[in-house]
Amino acid sequence: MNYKEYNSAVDLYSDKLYRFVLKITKDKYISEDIVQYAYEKLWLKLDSVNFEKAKSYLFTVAYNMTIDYIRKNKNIIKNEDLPELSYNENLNDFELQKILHNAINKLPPDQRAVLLLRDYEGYSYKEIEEITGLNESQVKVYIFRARKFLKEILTPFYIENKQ
Amino acid sequence: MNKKLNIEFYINKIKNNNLTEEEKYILLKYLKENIHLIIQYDDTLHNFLIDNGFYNDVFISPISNNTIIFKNKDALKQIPHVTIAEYEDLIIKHYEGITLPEEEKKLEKILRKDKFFLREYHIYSKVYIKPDNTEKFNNKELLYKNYNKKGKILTLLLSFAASVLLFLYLLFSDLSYNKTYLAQTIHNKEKTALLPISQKINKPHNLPMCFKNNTKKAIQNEISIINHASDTTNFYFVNKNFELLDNKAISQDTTLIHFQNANITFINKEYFPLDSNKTNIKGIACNEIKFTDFLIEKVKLFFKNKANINIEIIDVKSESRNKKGILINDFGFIASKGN
Repeated sequence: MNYKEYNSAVDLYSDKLYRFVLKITKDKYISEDIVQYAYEKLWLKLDSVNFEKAKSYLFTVAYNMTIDYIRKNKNIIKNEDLPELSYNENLNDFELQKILHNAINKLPPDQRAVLLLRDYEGYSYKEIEEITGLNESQVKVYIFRARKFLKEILTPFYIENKQ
Repeated sequence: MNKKLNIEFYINKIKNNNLTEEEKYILLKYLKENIHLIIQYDDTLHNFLIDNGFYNDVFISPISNNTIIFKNKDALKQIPHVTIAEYEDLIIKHYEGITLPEEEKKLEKILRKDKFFLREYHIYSKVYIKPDNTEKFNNKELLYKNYNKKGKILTLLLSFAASVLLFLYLLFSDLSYNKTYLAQTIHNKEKTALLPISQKINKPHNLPMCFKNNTKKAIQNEISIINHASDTTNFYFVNKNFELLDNKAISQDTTLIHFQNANITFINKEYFPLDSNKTNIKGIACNEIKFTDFLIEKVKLFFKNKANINIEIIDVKSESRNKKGILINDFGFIASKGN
């Protein structure tokens, strides 16, 4: 990768990387630091990382740092409560996403990260395995558990709406 | 139209078992055309008809193959008991796009079976998160790099040159030590951006040799600590060549337990008194030091205030003992400005 490609990687991936980290840490400053650190590492590895692999390299570095940060600061990070929404209102897409985004904050960091890689970035199970260092069955279990959890959160809205 | 037969006549004949072959033929032909009589006289006719092959040429031809189909076969078939985990996994797999063909069929059956499963299927379609694109990384300019090969080569060359110069400096500065020095302060080895220390040491013309007696010699020895960011700072005392004084004792035990019972007095020359009886430091932790021709002791100073400090070392004393605690030598120096 040359420096132009590196700068393209900044344009292409820094927002995505930032959103991913922010969603897990919920701290803007920490997230910015992690993004910067990931890009610094990429810059140092310029000769050995292909442009095609830059995105997954960045996500790998950021994931590891984020999980490390979460583990060290688990007592500080607070879970946000779900917003109070009336079950009788029809959920539009915005409200639905609001509920989901709040709900994933209640997932364990590993599950949350894996789900975000899947939904935000559309990574395959294999790619998530490479980024996170988890094995494929762990990735699958995390995604399935997360989906079931989110479905449990959504179910009351839909049952009430139908009745 | 067929001629009506006196069926009772024939029935009686069958019962009496005296039906002729001709009568038998007439009767069978007549019954084929009047099936209802078979039902009416079934008790008598049943065996007679079977015995005389009445049913042999009676068969039902199928109404053209496969034109009439029972469409609801699937509804009749029973699906095996489905657990909650199973149908949920099937639905999630379906949305994740990782179902096998047979699992797709099974899911289809499950969804047809009950509206409950359909509702679950519908809710699962909603559990996909879209990124919140309003969040942006605003410091991209920190990430961009301006880079060219010339710059990289120049940086490498400069780094190399600096390393060579540093190496040469260290090499020659070490050789230039005067071995007659007993003790002298050297600059802080932990120079960092946070702790800049400049040092001003004017070496005296005659420093004290290692001594057991409290010989006083003059020394002008000042240290300036500028903008120290921390409340503490370290510097080092080097005790050189002390082995020369008591070579015999040391040669018996080349590994010393060195008790640097230093009694170091500093004077803050300009601003304010230093903390703790003017920074007397006693009882520095025991260090096991493999014997070399000089010992280095790190001394930590504690300051209450963060400011530029100009201090003068007045007195340093220390002693060394072997492993058994026997005094090998004691030494020190006393320095005072302008003496």
